[in-house]
Amino acid sequence: MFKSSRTVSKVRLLFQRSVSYNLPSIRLLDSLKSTESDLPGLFSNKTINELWYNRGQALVDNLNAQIIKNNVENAPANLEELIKVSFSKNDLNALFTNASLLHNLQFFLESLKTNEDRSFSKAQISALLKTPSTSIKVENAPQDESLAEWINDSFGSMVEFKTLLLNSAASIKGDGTTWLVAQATYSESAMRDGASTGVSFDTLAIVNTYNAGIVDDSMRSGQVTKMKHQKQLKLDAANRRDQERKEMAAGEVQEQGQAVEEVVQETQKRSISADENALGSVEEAEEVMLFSDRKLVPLLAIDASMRAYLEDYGIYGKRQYLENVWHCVDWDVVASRTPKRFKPSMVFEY
Amino acid sequence: MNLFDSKYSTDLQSQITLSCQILLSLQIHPLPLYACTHTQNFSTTTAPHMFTKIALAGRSSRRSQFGIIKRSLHDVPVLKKQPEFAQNGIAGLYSANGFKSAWSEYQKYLTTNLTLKTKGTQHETRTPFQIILLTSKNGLEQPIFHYASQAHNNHLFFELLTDKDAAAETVPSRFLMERLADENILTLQDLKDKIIEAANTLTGQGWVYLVERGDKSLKVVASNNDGTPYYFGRGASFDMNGAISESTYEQYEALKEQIKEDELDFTLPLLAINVWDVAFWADYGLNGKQEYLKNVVDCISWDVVNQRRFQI
Repeated sequence: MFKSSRTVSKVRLLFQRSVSYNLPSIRLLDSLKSTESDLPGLFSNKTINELWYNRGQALVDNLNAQIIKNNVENAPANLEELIKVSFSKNDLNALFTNASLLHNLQFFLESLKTNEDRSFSKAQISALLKTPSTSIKVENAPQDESLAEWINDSFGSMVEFKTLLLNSAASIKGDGTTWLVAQATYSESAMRDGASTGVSFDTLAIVNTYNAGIVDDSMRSGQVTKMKHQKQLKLDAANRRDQERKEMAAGEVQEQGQAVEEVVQETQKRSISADENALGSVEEAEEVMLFSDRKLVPLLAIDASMRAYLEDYGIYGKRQYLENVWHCVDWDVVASRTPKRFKPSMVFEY
Repeated sequence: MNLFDSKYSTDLQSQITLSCQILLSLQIHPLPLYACTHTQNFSTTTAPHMFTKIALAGRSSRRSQFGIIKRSLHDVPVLKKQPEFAQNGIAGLYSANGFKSAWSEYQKYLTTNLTLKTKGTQHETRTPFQIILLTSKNGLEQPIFHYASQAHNNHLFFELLTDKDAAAETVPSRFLMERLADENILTLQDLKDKIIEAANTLTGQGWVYLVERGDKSLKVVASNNDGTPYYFGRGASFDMNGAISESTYEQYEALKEQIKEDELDFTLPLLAINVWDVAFWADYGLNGKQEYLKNVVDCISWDVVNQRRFQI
């Protein structure tokens, strides 16, 4: 007994070494931590510690615990890959949740810079009654010309973009993240450059995700449809079989038609649960997989959860927090994440 | 206070028992009025001079048909032990500052926003509770629903709380324990464990309720974000972000069916626990959820829970 439990712990140790995750390092935050200073213009040192070093570490610990618990072998070292492989498996839901929360938080914090011109303090109740500014001047707008142009083309103008982005974040009541994403449509990409397999991104858009939600909805969407299809396939297979049985039975005993009907109905019910391994056709399988035509690539994330602003801005301070986030966005990071834009050489107006 | 002045409340209660039909025709559900009495969020203490002071009873009592409907600001209700809590906090759970943050400030935030969202709309004379019922089926009214639901739930929660020592002297009634036994909850400790377990199923913000359903059975349920116990379509009991299990899918399908058939929901909350960050960050830190949960289940006055059972 004693011996065997020792081997188990050894195996676990091995596991931990091979696929354990560490808290990713974020250069700006690490330097602030070592000097115990605030992130000027956005966060106090206490918030940085709570938000990233404590919460981030807790998420990493949960993640590692889940990997051990579920005996996940060869977990990919990359967090995004891990999310991709764990997303569609219901028994890995807790693993996915922790990985995704960590990824979203990291994505947000990595695109921040300091801004000495801004300050933060706890807001009073009067902040709720403040009239929004109507100024069309936007400070800290992206300097990268092609990014700025793409934003203007997609949202109308920089101020419209900023308003939409911050309002989307303000509308999240629980936990969540607001994203700027580049969007491509698979079917349109295929039409444009028939031979090449790449997708071409033509629009920028804003997306909200809640709790551990992920941006890429080619992974996310359609899970209910998928379930529905699976159920329908099982039902159809069972029906077909029962129909055959019924025909055979009807040939033998024509007179007892009604009784047979009842029996068939009953077996139908039973066989649905018994027949777990029914396979659909390839066509059906493709139909199930083709739920989303969109490809989204995240460029910028804003954490809109309460925990990001409670400490420094207070309960009434979400607006001020979001305004400060805008001023602390490092657009160079955003530009470096931006994929190549597809720009039609001709625009057809209908 | 307007609707539940003593002279109106007796009148109301006799109406509830005598003529449910009249109330139904007024689109006010007879059952939840009970809950309304202890979750009133209206107060005339803020700037009363701004509004005509005439009772709201015109809506529900036929006696004052020509009464002018009163409009008031939503404001933070006064708790029974408000002065004591404000000064010393709640022993075993909150410091004075923690109490201020989770109740005084957060409730002020919710009620102010609710006033702002409802002014000039059909909801402006309604209580948060009525607003919950009337907006829960309409997704477009989600912003209003959010503030009404949160304000109502937080009041349900804070009415329960009491000092740890005082809480230890109260127990769930025999009736309550008998019903809980059907759910395999045999002791008070079991119930506390169950509440903490439910709170830990939430990924983000949310609530844990002990609810009494139409058939008198009790259940501990967890709701994501601003989920309400009053309407199954807005219970928000599952998070569909990850891969869903077949049982979740079936629950979801069943829910769709229930909503389509306009099924009535007679569920009432007996107990609500706030599992939002705002309920604990001031005293326990942003990562202090577990410690907070451990303390909060020991500071519940079961006398209040016992009284909330639906009784005719």
